[in-house]
Amino acid sequence: MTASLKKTPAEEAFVSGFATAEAALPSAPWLKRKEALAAFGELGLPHRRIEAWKYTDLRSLLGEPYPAQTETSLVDVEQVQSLAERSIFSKIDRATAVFVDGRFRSELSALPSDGAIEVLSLADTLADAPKWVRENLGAVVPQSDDAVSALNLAYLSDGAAIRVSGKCQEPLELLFVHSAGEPRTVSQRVLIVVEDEAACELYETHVSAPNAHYVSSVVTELVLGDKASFDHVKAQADGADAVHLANLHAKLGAEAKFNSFSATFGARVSRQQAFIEYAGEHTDANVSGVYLLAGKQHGDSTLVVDHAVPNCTSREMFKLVLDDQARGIFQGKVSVRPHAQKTDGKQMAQALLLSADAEFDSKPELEIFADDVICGHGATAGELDEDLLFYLRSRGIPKDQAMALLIAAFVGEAVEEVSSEAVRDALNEMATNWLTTHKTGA
Amino acid sequence: MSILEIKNLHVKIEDEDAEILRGIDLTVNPGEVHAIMGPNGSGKSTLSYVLSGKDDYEVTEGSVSFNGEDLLEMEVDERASAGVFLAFQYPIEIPGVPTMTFLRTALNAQRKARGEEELTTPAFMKLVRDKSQMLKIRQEMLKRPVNVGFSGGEKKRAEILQMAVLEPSLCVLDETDSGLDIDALKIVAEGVNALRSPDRAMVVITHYQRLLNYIVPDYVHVLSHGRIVKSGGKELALELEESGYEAFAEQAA
Repeated sequence: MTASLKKTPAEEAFVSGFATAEAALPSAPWLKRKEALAAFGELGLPHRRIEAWKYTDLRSLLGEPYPAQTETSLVDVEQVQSLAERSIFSKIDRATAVFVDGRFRSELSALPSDGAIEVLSLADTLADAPKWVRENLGAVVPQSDDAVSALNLAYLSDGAAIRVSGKCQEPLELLFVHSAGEPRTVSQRVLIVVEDEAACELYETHVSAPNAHYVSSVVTELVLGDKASFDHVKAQADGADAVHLANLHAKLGAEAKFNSFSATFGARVSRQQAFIEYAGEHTDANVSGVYLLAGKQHGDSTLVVDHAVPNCTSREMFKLVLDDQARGIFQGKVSVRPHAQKTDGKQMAQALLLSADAEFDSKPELEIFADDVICGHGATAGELDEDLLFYLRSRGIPKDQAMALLIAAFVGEAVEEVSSEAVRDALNEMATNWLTTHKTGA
Repeated sequence: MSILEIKNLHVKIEDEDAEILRGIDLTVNPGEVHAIMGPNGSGKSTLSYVLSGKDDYEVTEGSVSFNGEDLLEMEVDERASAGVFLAFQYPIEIPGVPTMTFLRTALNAQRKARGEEELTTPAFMKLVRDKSQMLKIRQEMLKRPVNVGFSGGEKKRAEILQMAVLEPSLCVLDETDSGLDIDALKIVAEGVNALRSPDRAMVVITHYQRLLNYIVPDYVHVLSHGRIVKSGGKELALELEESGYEAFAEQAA
């Protein structure tokens, strides 16, 4: 079906620009860029006639070519630092790995000194990659029909390879910064291997300078060992002209804990996919998130949870606040395979619509083939309660501030899922300030 | 100067024709406590909502001045910052907003609106602790979201706590006695009486005389069919208890 579609300028540019780009990108014989590009050539950009992309027609949303970023641009250190300060994690003690326009910047980073965690730049390490990188990179991402990960691999410029072998002392933040400029695609990948009984907390921040036109493609692969624990908090504050395409592929060992939270308030278009596969029993996965979107922002969260083994739990809690003509999408697929008994899966997506022109689309999909399971899902959409607003205002709280309190209260239930109190506080503050920030364009 | 001056106030619900208030006149001076009594549907709650600025009500005639200013021109939150406080008949639950956060946000918003410094956290904590002790409010209650999981009595006490913290110059108490047992009523009344002062006025709206045994008014007004049909001293409340509202209904019709 895809073959019958005429290629868009964006698709053509991705295919025709490959030869030049490949020469400029870091290479390794085991990295299958050409195959990935060929796969993308077949698939093209996902569009609305592909069921999983029904609400996010990337083909029409990427109207113009976004050539791959290959050259290492000059870095405006002051600008990067001022952008880094806007990270919601900036007040928390943490190690940092900074990526500017698709390249790791060691001079701007403060890598962990902790022996429990090893952080490598993919670009620096590809040619002579250690075994754990070669064996795992691309191993969690299924060899499937996902155009986003195919394109990401074809144009991969850098990213991080992280190995956790013990309990980390402090969190690590991956900070992805984009500078102003012409349309381009920045493809990065993060590989995380958390060994058995190891634990770490990872923050991920995406920010940009004003007037930055880019597609940021970030594919994260996580291999979580037995009895391992991984806490992930992502803050996506990409610029107003950006397109954010993120895939998270996680393979979870036995008796492991996986907790991933994402706060999405940036980008013109964002699509965040998470594919969670249970490889061992008695493992808990919690995937939650908050969307705060205004203007014409389009934010899509698509989850695929595969209960491939018995005795595991999954929790999904998403809260979307949509103003103006913003559009929020939640798609949650939970599969329970025939032998995956005692699965406990719950899913909830709730939207708060601040404007009559905002839109929320929710598509839960439960495929249950086992008979002894607890699975549930729910979705709601509503407006701010006028009676609550009146009550708050009758105590002297101005309308905007009262709305901000109610917005923070609404998203609070999802924020509660974050383990770190300092991060929860930062997220609450961000949610409380969001309304004023987007109304004033600050 | 009077704190509150209501002149010939006519009010209807938006998009409806029938008037609920049909020409109210009321003057409340500093230090005074006025009770407004009346049967269900007489317009008592409408009066409290109009004073606090709720949408859905339309003033078709008349005026309300508060400390000499046109109250009806002010936004809901401006009225609060200027010193109007409505203790709700049915206090609203606000999931996700801790009571302490709510109180601090409200107090600091009012202070800011009046050009005063915001209160520091320790000063605020002390203020709330002192006021809540008097109302027998446990600290644990203050950590919970506003009114969520509170009993009827706790909700009313929480209203009075808000009043004590915000120190308004005009307190409007809408059926504060409803849903309270006698012990809870005593605690609430004690809290209200502690707030009586020469520069503060109160309008106590109630269906029953019982509350007025504990919050003793200076004046009692009988509201019937949207009009004040009789005014008098505190003994009027007792008279009403004897005769019922029927006798007054005819005068208003």
